[in-house]
Amino acid sequence: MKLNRREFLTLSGKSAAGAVLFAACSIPEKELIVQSPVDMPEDLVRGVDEWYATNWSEGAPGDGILVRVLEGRIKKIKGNPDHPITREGSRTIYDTALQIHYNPDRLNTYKVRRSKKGILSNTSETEANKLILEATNKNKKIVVVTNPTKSTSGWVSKEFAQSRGGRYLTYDPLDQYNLYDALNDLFGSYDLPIIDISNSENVLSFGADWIGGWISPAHYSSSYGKLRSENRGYFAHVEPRHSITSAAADTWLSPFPGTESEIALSIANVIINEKLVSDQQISDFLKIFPDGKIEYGYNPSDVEKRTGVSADKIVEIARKISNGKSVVFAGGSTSAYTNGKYNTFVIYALNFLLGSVGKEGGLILNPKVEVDYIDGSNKSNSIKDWQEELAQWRAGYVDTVIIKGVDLVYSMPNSLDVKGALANVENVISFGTSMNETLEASDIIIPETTFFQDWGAEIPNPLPGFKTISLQQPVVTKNSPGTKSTSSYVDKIIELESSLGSSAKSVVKKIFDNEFNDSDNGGSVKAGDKGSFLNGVQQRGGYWNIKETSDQKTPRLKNPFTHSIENTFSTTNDSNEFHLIPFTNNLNNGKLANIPFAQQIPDPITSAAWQTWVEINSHQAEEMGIKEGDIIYLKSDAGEIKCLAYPHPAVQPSTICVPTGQGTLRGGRYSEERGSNLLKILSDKLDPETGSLAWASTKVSVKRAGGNKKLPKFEGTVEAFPVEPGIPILIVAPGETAHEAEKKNHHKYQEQLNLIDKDKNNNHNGISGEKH
Amino acid sequence: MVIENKDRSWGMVIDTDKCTGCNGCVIACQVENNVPLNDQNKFERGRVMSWMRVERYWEGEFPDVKARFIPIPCQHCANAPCEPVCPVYATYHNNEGMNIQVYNRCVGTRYCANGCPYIVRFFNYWEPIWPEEMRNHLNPDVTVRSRGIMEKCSFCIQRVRRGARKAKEENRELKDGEITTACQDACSTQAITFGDLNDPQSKVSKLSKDDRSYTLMPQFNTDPNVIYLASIKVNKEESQEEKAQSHD
Repeated sequence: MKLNRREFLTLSGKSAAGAVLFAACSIPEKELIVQSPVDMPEDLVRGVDEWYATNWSEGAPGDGILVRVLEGRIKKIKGNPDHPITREGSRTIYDTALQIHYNPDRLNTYKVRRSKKGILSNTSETEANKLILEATNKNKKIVVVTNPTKSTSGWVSKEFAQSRGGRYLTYDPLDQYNLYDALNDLFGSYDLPIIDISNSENVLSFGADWIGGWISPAHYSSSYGKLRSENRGYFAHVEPRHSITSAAADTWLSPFPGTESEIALSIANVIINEKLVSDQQISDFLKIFPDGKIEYGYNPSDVEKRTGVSADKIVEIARKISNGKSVVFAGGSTSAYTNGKYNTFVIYALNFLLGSVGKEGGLILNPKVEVDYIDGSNKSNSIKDWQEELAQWRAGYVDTVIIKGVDLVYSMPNSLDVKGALANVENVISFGTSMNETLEASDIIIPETTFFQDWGAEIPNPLPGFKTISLQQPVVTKNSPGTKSTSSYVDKIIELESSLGSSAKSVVKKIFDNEFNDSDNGGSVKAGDKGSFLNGVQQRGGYWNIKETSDQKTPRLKNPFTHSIENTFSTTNDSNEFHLIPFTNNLNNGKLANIPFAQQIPDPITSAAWQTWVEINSHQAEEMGIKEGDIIYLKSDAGEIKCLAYPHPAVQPSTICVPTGQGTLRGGRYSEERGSNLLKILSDKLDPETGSLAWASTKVSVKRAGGNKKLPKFEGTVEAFPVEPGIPILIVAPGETAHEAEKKNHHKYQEQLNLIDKDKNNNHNGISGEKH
Repeated sequence: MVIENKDRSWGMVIDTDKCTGCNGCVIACQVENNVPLNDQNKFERGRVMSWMRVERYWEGEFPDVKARFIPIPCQHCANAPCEPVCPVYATYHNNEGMNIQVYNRCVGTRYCANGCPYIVRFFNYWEPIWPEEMRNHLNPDVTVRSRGIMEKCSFCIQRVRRGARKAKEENRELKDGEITTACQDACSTQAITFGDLNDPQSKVSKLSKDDRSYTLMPQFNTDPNVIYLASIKVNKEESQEEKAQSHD
């Protein structure tokens, strides 16, 4: 047979014979090396790269990061293994910061609105500066607003507001206000304690998606890795939603939302009744209750009826965590119901019962760190504070508002009408790297530098058990490509109030000059002079002193509940009314919505991206006739949004879960008109104890809109394949080998398909085939 | 010049018990290797390019339900089905146990992707679009592929070469753990380990012999250099017995 080259290649590609032919006719190795391949570009390593240690205060507060810079361009970000918070940890969103800096929709010009009804137009830096100086002179009543932060940025914001007799406020849409309040009541400090997961044998968490995104995920997920190392610890998680933390747990409990404290009290009930801990520990724990005892009604079978969680599992967890080093903690949605503070208080108090407070593997208090030129708090202002503040704005009592690091218009609930309030403020000055809804409602817009270009310092939250200051330093210049005409927030505020210093760099230098004087005893950097000391701090990404720990070794209850707080979260019998559980994903509540890297990271549970979806229990969806991709209206007492349905089996039937972050009206090509803004339909219910927004207490009705769209998701892109026939992921029991598990599983698969003789199966493997 | 060491066999161990499914490895790989942006359209059309992917499987029914995750890169098989079918030798096995893809040889027949049982090869059906500003963050150590080219996980060969070059300059041997892949760097829980499988003292080599180790689809005899450690289920036997009882 005569073949031309094309026919030969076609045939060989399509047939196994072809494969054999090619395998047999392998080319000499020398030829490969000479002709091609491996020297070709992917191997041709050129240039010298530099890795700078710094900190991304707005996106990953407190974390130490390393930034790779090559030829003046930022190329890569990873966790700083030298930094005591990050250690081996990392965050999914680190690399997304590259596209904050190199974003095609990045702001590069100052903008001004010359009258309240006018439009925003470009202006020169000189003119903008003149207008800003007028708007912030000493006669003006000024309010400064930022994201919650304990940093140099917080310090200049607070000092500047005070220098004008004004106020400094912070806002976080899904805040943890109740968490901080409860911790202060229990331990006498607003500072988060160390949750010593790495050294624990049993971990019990409530609500906080600490592996996915809660507070300090790089720190916590690194600890999770250690928990799952040699002496594998036990981990149980209580959360209505199946987050990646729920998925990582050995035991996942999905209670009716708002009933988490009942589970905690039922666990306590079992521990006390079975005398699983010492009398002293029981006595310490009972001090939190008004009468020194747990009220009746918390035995597991009663609690099962109220929470939907199996009594057997409650007993099992109680027995497990009473044995060995254990830690219990809460956050996330558990702290954000109308009874959020109560939930949080009761859950953290379990650590007293377990004798875990101040112990390795338990809850260890952090020192109170006060550093000159670093101020602010990680605890945001409550919605009650904001209601009062916005009333001032609406009444025209505030002349100028300066906003940085938070998109108030996008992220505040509808009921606050912040846009209306801003309209009554004479001068709204906003900083940003790209447009957002708050900038759109501002009078002067200042294009901001990114953290890659600025100086700063921050106290991490939580601390690693000792004094730590993270450093932020410029890794590229202010004139790096695409970023001309941008200004640093701290530098700009210092320009307006010279008593604060001469620049952000000078402020940071003063911080570390002070530390140099105290660095002899246990500090992470040792140097002969201040200049070398600062160099050392820059090399390591901060300064820490392992000897500066908390004095409070045996914490005591600061404020026991003096009255019984009723569980204010009511359940519902309406079959079309659902508890809405909002959750934060890689879009960071909309802050990263204009970053394509962040948009396209598949959600771990649903694999969805680029859209707003609603997670609904698959059985319930079937009963309601809802299929994947159906367009759904979610209606609350605050508004209505549209999203695409994604039914799956791990949703608590009384709840639906929706991610925040989409639906921005301004922000650029990657975010505008995409999905829906969930934050806008959050009900304005508050926790009456604290006045904070109960963002997990919204109830919604679900209605089909009548259409269906393809949900953008990764699932299905690649056909799922089994590890072994019938086995997606190999699971072993403790002590079981992979080979044994494979054999068993393979056998079961064959059994399902009737491929083997069941009697033989009994004889050889002892599996009870005859029962079928 | 390529610095190869024929005694090495680069390999990876992925501990599924530690993997949380966070997708940190996915994005880290994409940034390191200039994998094109996946817009909404690509998700809708099932054309997402992801050298490292995390698959999610459901286990059980509510309330005893659980999502399980498994990260899947190219398996760098010793008996790779993709290699012999390439008519232009664009994919071949190098002396260090890696399955190499040579972009400037690839003519886009896609035979290799057809032959790969792990579905880890991705074809550039379109010219990748990188806005001008975003080209600044592209990694100059890695070629930006064009339309018509097949691509896949390279075990971050550019990092291996950079590390080997540095060791040679310093006149020393490479140390275990000195070279890390991008996915490994991004894994907070340390679920991914990379190293020389031929070095009996290396961490990856020791882990690959763990009782929990297994490879994907052993029935195809591909002999992968990516080895998995099985996920652990506390009370696995008990729960199976419970289920058996409930069937009674």
